[in-house]
Order: sequence, then structure tokens, then C-alpha cells
Amino acid sequence: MKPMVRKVVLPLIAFVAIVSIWEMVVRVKWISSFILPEPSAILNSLIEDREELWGALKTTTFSVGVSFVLSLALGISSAIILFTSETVLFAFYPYTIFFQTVPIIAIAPLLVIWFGYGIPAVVASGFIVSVFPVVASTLTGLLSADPNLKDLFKLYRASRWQSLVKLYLPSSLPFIMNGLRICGGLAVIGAIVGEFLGGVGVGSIIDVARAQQRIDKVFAAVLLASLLGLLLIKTIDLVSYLLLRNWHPSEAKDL
Amino acid sequence: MSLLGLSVEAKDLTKEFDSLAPLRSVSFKVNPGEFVALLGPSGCGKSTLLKMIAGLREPTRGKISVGEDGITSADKRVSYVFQDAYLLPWRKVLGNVTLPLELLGASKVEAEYKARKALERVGLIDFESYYPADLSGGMKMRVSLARSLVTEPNLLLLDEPFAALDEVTRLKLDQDLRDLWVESQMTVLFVTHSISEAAFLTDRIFMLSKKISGIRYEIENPLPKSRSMETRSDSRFGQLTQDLFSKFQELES
Ligand SMILES: Nc1ncnc2c1ncn2[C@@H]1O[C@H](COP(=O)(O)OP(=O)(O)OP(=O)(O)O)[C@@H](O)[C@H]1O
Ligand SMILES: [Mg+2]
Repeated sequence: MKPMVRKVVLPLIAFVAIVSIWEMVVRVKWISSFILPEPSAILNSLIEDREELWGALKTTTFSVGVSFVLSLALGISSAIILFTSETVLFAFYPYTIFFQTVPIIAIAPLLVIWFGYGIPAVVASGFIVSVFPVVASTLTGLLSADPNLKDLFKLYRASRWQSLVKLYLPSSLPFIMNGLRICGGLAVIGAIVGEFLGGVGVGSIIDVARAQQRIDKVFAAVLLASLLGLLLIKTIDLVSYLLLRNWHPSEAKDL
Repeated sequence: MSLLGLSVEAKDLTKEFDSLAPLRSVSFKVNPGEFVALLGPSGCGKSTLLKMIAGLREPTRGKISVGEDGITSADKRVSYVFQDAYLLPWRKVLGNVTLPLELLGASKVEAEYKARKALERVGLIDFESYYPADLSGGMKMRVSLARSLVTEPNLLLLDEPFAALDEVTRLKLDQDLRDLWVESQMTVLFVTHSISEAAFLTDRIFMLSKKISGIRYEIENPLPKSRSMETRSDSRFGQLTQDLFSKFQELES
């Protein structure tokens, strides 16, 4: 089968088929449109509520972006600090695992109390859920540098800084990129959860539309949030490809 | 001026791991500028010994001295070639060869100049902008060799460097290494479990034994200094390999 057929035509046919069946099922009232709106209604909402949705999407994109960048910067630097000092590592590592298990939905109200309604609470929510995967994967990467290469650096009396920059960080790059993929997905989830309570962005639209029984608008907002997540992850994929294609099997040129 | 090769002296060297001691009370001396093979069966402690000489592992007891007294550590230029190439996959060939000089604080210009010279010596100058992933096994090993030569070492330690290569490539690299050594004044210690490789390459052969956890024989190589393909059909080469072979069997039995 030609790649074009496999990658574009078949998924497209499947999409049209599913959407048509869905539309039909709702039109003939097998399922009530209060439970599942027909695709045309969602499209309609996307068009009619476009100004409100677009404004909300911009707000959410901003919050997700800030959470992601904070997670990237603070996640990688805390992993480096944990890695550099065994004392710090043993003292704090157990808690980084513990914090990963805290359900964000449960602490979101607290964030609103601490940061008030609005973007800061949303950013905090996105950051808290997305930072730990970056810490964990960076640390795993740093710890898995090849022992023979470590010997090589020792032989030439490399300083700690040289080893970090020329050996440990490049070795952990594939791990960091994996961490960032997870981070990107979670930053969107965290931000939307924060917005449910924070009263801004796409999450807030979902919350309000649900209360008004505007299921079509809920779906339109959910669709936009998913596309945002998809866009973020695809961007990370692209960066990962550019950084790793020449040397790491995960991004090998000719598969 | 390039420094003379470093001497290596071990006194009562012992290395113990939890349950076994692959090296027990080992003593030997390698003279400056010598080419010595460490020949022995798998697991007899050859790699362990080489890493201790490089200062990468500490002996349990005993002492290793590299270079005569009074040589500063900055003048001890030791290089190590591993069994696999162990290149940095994210750096191109040139970047891999400049690495040791960068770590030792050389300028970029100087490092690249010397790296290109080293690549020329191993015949890979046209491949400087390749990534390791795009090289064959033999080419990677040559890059690894260039990386070890770039610092102009006065002690070169090689741990079965060509063991993973095909026979033809290996003979070629053996020849190149011997020629490199003849041109230079460095001391070379070469770990191998190949009898013919030890006989072809070196001036002296230390045979290690598992049973006594140390060096059982020190054998002088009677072959002339310069070696070539003809060396392998020299009758002295035949005698030496036979002698080594019977000693090997004796140690193994
Ligand atoms: N870090 C370690 N901890 C425990 N045992 C070790 C360690 N390193 C090596 N050994 C043991 O010491 C013995 C000698 O190991 P070494 O790698 O020096 O052998 P070798 O002569 O290089 O063998 P080969 O030819 O297979 O490379 C082996 O039995 C090995 O299992
Ligand atoms: Mg070994």
C-alpha cells in the first residue's frame, strides 16, 4: 500500500464514515442530542461562539505555554541538582515520586485559595502536574550515562561541569524528550482542571456551558483543548526529531 | 619535543572483588617505549589490570607507578582504547577526536588541527563530518584510535580493541598500530586473547593465568622491530606462536 494511502486517505475515510454514522444516529434520535450532540451542532457552535472560544483558547494556550516552559526549566534544573548531590538526591527523591501521585483535581481548590481566580492558579495547576515527569526522566537519563564514557572523561581529568555539559546532558537528551512529551500532555490537562475552578479559558467555558446544558459548546471546547494538546506534542516531536535524528535510534532517519 | 614513553611498574598488586581475586600479588615492569601484550584467557583480570594502570580503578593492595619519579601528572599522557569504540554518538567524527583535547583545556583551533592530523594518520580524514551511526565497525574503531592518539600519549593502553572486527580489518589495523608505534616513542600495553595478534604486534608478552591469578610467563619476541605481512610467514613467528600456544594450553589445563 502506498504511504499516501496508508497515512492520509484511509484515516480520512474512517473519519468521514464515523462522523456520518454519528450524525445519523443522533438525527434519527437513537441518542438524544442532549447527551451526544451531532457533529454539525458542534461545528455550528465552533462558528457561532468563535469569538468567545478563540479568546478562551488564547488564554489557555498562554497558561499551558507558561506551565510547560516552567516545567521544562525547573524540571531539568532540579534533576541536575538532585544528580549533583547524593545527599540532596536521597533526601528529596522519594517526595518527587509522592508528589506525582497527588491528584490535581483535589488540590485545585487550594490553588485558587492561594493564587486567587485567574491565570496564576491555572499556571500553578498545569505546572504541578507536568513538572515531575520532567524531573524523573531527566534524572533517569543523567544516571544512565555509559560507564565506559564516564571512564573516558575521568581519564582526561574532565571537570564536573565539562562532564555535565559534554556527557551527562547529551546522554539524557532522549530521556528528556520523552519526559517533555508526557509533560506537554499533562500541562494541558492540569491547566484545564485549573480553569474549571479558576474561571478563565477553555476549561471555564466547558464548566459554564455544561451548567447551561450547551453540550454542543462543551464538545466544541473539548475539541479545541485536544487540538491544543496535539499541537504541543507534535511540536515536541518535531524538536526531538531535529535534535536526535543524526544519532539516536529512536529518531533514525531511514526506518 | 615529545616525551619518551612512560614506564609502568606494578608491585605486589592485588585486586579483590566480593568473592574472587582475579589478580593476586602481581609484579612486573614495562620499560619506557616498549610494546607489551597482556595475553590471557577470558576472565583472568586483563581489563581490571589495564583499568588500574589507567588510574580508573583502585587496587585493593599494592602499588602501580606510571612514569619515573618526578614526572608531573600533567606530563603523563595516558590514553585508553576500549573493546568497543565508545564514541559520543551525538558528535561528528571530528568532534569525537577533539574531545580529549577539549577536556584538557586546548583551544578549539589547536584541538581541530591536531584532530585532523590524527584522522589523517588513521585514514579517515574524509569522514570528519560523519556521525558515528553512519560508520562501519572498523571505521568507528579507527576513530577511537585517532581519539586516543590525538593527545600524543606517552602511554597507550588498549583493551582488545579489534576483537569485534573481521579478520582482514583486524590484520590491517594491527599493522597500522605497529607502524604508529614504530614512528612514535610511546609505551603500549595491548590486551588480547589472540596468540597471533600478540606475536605479531609486540616486543614482550605477559601471559596471565587464572589459576595463579597473575603473570605466569614473560616472553621476549625475537622478531625484528619493523613488522609487515611477511612477518607472519617468518619461521620465528611460527615458532613463537607455537610456543605461546603450548604455554596457553598448559595454563588452561
Ligand atoms: N566490578 C566488578 N565486580 C565484581 N567482579 C568483577 C568486577 N569487574 C570484574 N570482575 C570479575 O573479575 C574477573 C576479571 O575480570 P576482567 O574483566 O578483568 O577479565 P578479562 O581478563 O578482561 O576478561 P575478558 O577477556 O573476557 O575481557 C572476572 O571474573 C569478573 O567477573
Ligand atoms: Mg576484558
